[in-house]
Amino acid sequence: MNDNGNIAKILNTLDKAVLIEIGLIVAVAMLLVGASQKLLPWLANKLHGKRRLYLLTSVPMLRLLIIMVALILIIPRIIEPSVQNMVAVLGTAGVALGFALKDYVSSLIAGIVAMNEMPYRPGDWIEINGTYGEVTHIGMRVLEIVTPNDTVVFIPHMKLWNELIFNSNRGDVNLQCAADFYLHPRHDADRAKHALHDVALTSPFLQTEKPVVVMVQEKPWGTHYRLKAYPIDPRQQFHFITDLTVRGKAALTSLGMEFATSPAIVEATP
Amino acid sequence: MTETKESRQPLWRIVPVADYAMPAIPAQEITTKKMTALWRLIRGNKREAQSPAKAKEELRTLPEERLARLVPTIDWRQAAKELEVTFEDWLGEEDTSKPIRFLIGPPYGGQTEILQAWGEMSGRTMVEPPTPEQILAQDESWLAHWPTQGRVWVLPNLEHCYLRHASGLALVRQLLERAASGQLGRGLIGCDSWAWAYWQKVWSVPQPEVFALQAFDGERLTAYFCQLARAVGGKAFRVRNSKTGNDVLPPADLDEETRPEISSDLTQLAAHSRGNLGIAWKYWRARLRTEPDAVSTEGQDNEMNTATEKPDATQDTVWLAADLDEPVMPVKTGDDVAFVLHALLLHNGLSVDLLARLLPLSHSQVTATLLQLEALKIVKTQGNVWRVAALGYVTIRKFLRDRGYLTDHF
Repeated sequence: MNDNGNIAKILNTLDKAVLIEIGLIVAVAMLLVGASQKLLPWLANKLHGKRRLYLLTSVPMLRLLIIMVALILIIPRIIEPSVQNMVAVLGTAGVALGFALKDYVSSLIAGIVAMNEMPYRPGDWIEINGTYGEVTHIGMRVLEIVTPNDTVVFIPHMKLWNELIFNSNRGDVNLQCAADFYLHPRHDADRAKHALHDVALTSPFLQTEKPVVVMVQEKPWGTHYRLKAYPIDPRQQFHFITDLTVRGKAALTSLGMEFATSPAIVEATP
Repeated sequence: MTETKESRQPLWRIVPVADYAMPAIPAQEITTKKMTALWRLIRGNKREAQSPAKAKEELRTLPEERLARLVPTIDWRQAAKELEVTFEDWLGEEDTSKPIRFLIGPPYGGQTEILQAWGEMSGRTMVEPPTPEQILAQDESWLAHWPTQGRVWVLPNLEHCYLRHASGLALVRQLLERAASGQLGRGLIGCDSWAWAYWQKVWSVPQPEVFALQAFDGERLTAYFCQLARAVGGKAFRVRNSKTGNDVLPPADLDEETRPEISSDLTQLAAHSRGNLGIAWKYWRARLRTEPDAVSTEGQDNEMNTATEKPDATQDTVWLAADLDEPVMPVKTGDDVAFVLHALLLHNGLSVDLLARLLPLSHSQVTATLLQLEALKIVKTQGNVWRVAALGYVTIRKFLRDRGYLTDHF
């Protein structure tokens, strides 16, 4: 009887009016969340560059804000709003949820942490556990990425705790791409380097505000050239690498340079 | 009208590129426009408040013949004379530490025409750009046949001397290196602002001797169009805004020393065209309208009016359309459209064959894209060379800037 009396003190009377109010708050919150998740990405995909990324980033933040406001409005309608009551009810609920839905709750909490730390944002190109793609949606429990093969991969936020996350552009439009070329060791490396530099400078995909770098490394089987540059939009990265590769090969061939072939060339001993 | 006598800016000014001043819409005007829009919103957009002085349906576009008479082609020789004055000291110097000077300008900005006019007027040696085949073959014979030293040479269009291709940069690099070191003697190089912006990335050697035709702000545009209005066979014509009925140009009998009031139409036109006279001229021509009666009686009018006769009020009025249906970009635009437009601007015009060679697009893709853009009046063809249309330039520039493409500084 005493316990029942305490619970009665904690909880407010849930009459019909209160239930309607709660129902309305939940409905409005769901409507707003749904609208923000549809409208903002739709609008963002009509834009380009930084404006697109900013708008995409605002989607999970806005959703969290709506949910928080809804909770702030709902909880005092269910629980008598005193510190003691809040600690007692939320503590009990937390323990119960923690045991029963440990991974689920872990992902939810990781989702909130991810919104604060922002290791990934919509529009970012990330790699988690060997899967690379563009973050298209950040949900409460999972994030969705679309791979270059147009496959959607759902990754729980809890990966944040113990997996390495590789972010290629980190909320920015600048994403470095690299095209590799392997040449026979006997060639004029300076000419090849300058030719590849011009290949990048003349690509229509090139973001001219960012540097173009050609790395050269001698290997036992030949010379490895790595041409690094940035496309105008991260979504162009695969077309950009293709363009660099196609035109790079043409430029090197026109200079009479031979490409390294496998198996490795073995010098004939005299 | 303001009756104060103030010193007016000269119409044509060649200035160091750092002094180039882009005309801006005055903040007061922006506030007024926003307040007007808010007022209309509150009032519910009532019709009577907006009744134009001349309804759109009452006006016709001007016949080409009359348009050519009222708004003749820009005479760039006046700017060439100003160039001669500005460069007088440099041309007379014995010191060859500054062997080259650049004249930069946006598309339709007239830098090529100014240099060609100046070259003809002062008998300078004009240098023709290399052919696309020479550029791609990196044919140094083009440089080997450079005009004899000792005379000032003029290369009016650097943008036609390179191609954005892995083999298309070497020739201009050599040219710029030799020219900057004085090996080619003294010369003037004209360059389109888009090509210049690109070459700033490719050949990042600081160039202090870079000049431009000063942007035409509202005041200078007014002066220019007044000059045109008074130059039509000695018979002035009146330009009125078709919406407000206000005069766009100051009265013809205004004392030349008196600083006229600048119409907001021309301030806006100057800002919209980014101070580019060629573009403003195109807009001005495209927006001029006349009443049908004036068109039909124009022939008689020409015979009756002499230079000394007082012009008839109705027939000498042309109307400036309140707005112009500017070209708009296609709703769904992929990289193809952006690539084609950017390449056209970087080279100030290209053929389909060259576009297909420079871009990762097939010949048929390039053709399809160009035809689509031509239908939208965004690009136009002259012979086999495609260029961005003057009236589409502002839209294109904004489109490319929003997508993060390299844009010019003009």
